Amino acid sequence: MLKYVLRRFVYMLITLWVIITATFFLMKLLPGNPFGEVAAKLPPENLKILREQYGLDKPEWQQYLKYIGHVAQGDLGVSYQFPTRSVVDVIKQSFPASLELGIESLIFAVIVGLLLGIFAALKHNKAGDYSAMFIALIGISVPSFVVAPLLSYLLGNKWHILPAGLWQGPEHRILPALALSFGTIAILARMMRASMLEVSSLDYIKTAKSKGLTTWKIVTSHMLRNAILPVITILGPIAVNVITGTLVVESVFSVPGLGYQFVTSITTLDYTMITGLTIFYAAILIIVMFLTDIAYGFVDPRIRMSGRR
Amino acid sequence: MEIISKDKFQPAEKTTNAESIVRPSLNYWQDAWRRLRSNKLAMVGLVVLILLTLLAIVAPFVSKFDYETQYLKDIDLKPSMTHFFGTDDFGRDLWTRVWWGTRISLFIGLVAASIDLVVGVLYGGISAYFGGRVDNVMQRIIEVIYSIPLLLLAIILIVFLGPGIKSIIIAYALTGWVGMARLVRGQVLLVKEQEFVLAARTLGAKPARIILQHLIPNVIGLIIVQITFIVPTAIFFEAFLSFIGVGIKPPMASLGNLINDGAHYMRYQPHRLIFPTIVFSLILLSFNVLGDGLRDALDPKMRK
Repeated sequence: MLKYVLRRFVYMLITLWVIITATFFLMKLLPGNPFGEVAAKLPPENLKILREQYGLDKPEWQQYLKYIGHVAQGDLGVSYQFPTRSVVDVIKQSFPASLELGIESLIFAVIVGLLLGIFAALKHNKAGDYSAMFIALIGISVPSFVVAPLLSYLLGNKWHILPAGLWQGPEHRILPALALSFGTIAILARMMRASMLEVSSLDYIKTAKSKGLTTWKIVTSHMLRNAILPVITILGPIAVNVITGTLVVESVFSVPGLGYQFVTSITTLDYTMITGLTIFYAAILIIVMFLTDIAYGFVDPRIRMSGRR
Repeated sequence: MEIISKDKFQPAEKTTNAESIVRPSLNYWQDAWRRLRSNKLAMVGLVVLILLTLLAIVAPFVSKFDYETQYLKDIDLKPSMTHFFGTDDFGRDLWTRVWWGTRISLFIGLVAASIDLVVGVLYGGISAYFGGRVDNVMQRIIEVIYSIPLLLLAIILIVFLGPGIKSIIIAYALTGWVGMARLVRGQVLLVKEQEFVLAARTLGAKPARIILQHLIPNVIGLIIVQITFIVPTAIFFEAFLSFIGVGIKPPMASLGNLINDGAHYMRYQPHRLIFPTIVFSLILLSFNVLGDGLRDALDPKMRK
């Protein structure tokens, strides 16, 4: 097991390194002067001093090593558009709102998604199954950037049931979390249904049925435990879904979170902010995938043995 | 006691064609098509897709307007008989723009799927066929690429390459093929141990021939199903990037930037959000249903 964990850990580091390297060299590819318009008018001596100050006179491999060193210490640089704000400060300031939104939507999605999946499996090949799976299919096909504006428009602007945007009281949390959870509900429901169906054909469920247990009892104390294990494997896609979702949902509902910052930095071409936040997001995703692999290795020894997913 | 009449015990008539096969014999594709046809949802998906594709090809040509000319007299019109979907804030006809966008989305989806197909199938096929050290190295590379978050990489790539169809396709192609390669590899590993491959090898067939003639036909069903899931992913990808502002830029229309525009103006002109949204969701929905149907049709073993 230790060997397996170590191996996955090394992969995680390699992946992170690939991303940091890619962002570094993409930065180098940028045309023009790193000090902006003003610096173009400066005399060459001043420019030289500036370059020395930022270490740009050194060979590229030295700059690269320095950059890696900075990132490893958690220093992601300073905003290109607002030199008084460091990327890490922005993350500290706006990540909590995103995290809260993400967790709220996840809780909602897990409850609804799992229930939908269980319901569909119990009504297998009946109307209930078809309608539940149709809902899930719509959840997959209609992405968050469609759901979010529609919800904001219908519930917020047209019917005035909930606020259409902003991030203040608890009532401001509902619509963004709802919009963010759609895709996750769909993924979870489909996965849970397949996994419940697989478990329901096993012998020990037949035994439980022939003992005369109620459906409720069979589901809660026999089926769920085994059916829920494979769901762990889709934590990765879910994390991707939630993060890409926050980019859209936060922009639509004006939530002051990290996703909003990221989209703003893209539209204002704030290069250091874009790369810094990309590395941050990538790190989160890669860590989630790492933990998923480990968790699944614990749960299912076959995976650990073969060492491959 | 009941009397059993003798005529109940006649010898059976000898039929000469008792062994004959009445139904026409079906090959794999005919059989798959028969199964697909019986799946109503998948057929609806297929028909909707064909309709949308036809509209995307024909509608911009037939329309009186083009996607970029601005008619400043006709700003923000509601849907009418001249402008089926209304107009936008530059007086551009939304009907034409939506179908142009559909065309671009489908184009991106198809190109992305073709790249995935070629690279993924070759990579997966080679890796699985040769096995051993080759496979090991190739799989390690895949594992690293697989864990790179595709969307994030694409965003920074496009920010630096500049927006446009080409950048989107490059960004997608860089990492999109991995799923296909893994799938093909898995299936080839399964097939290549079977006897007919051994027979081909014994007869002196070269690796290229074995891969193309014997292995690929056995994984083609899986590949087709995968493609029906890749196309919507790539379409989603474009729309997502356009929505957050790094995709396709106006005046060029794409479903992503139309939805983005629509989201800004939905309070006053809901039609600008609704039409592109419906078309976009229909595309994704149809591909997903069709993919599910194809999976059942092409791989009967998988069916529950």
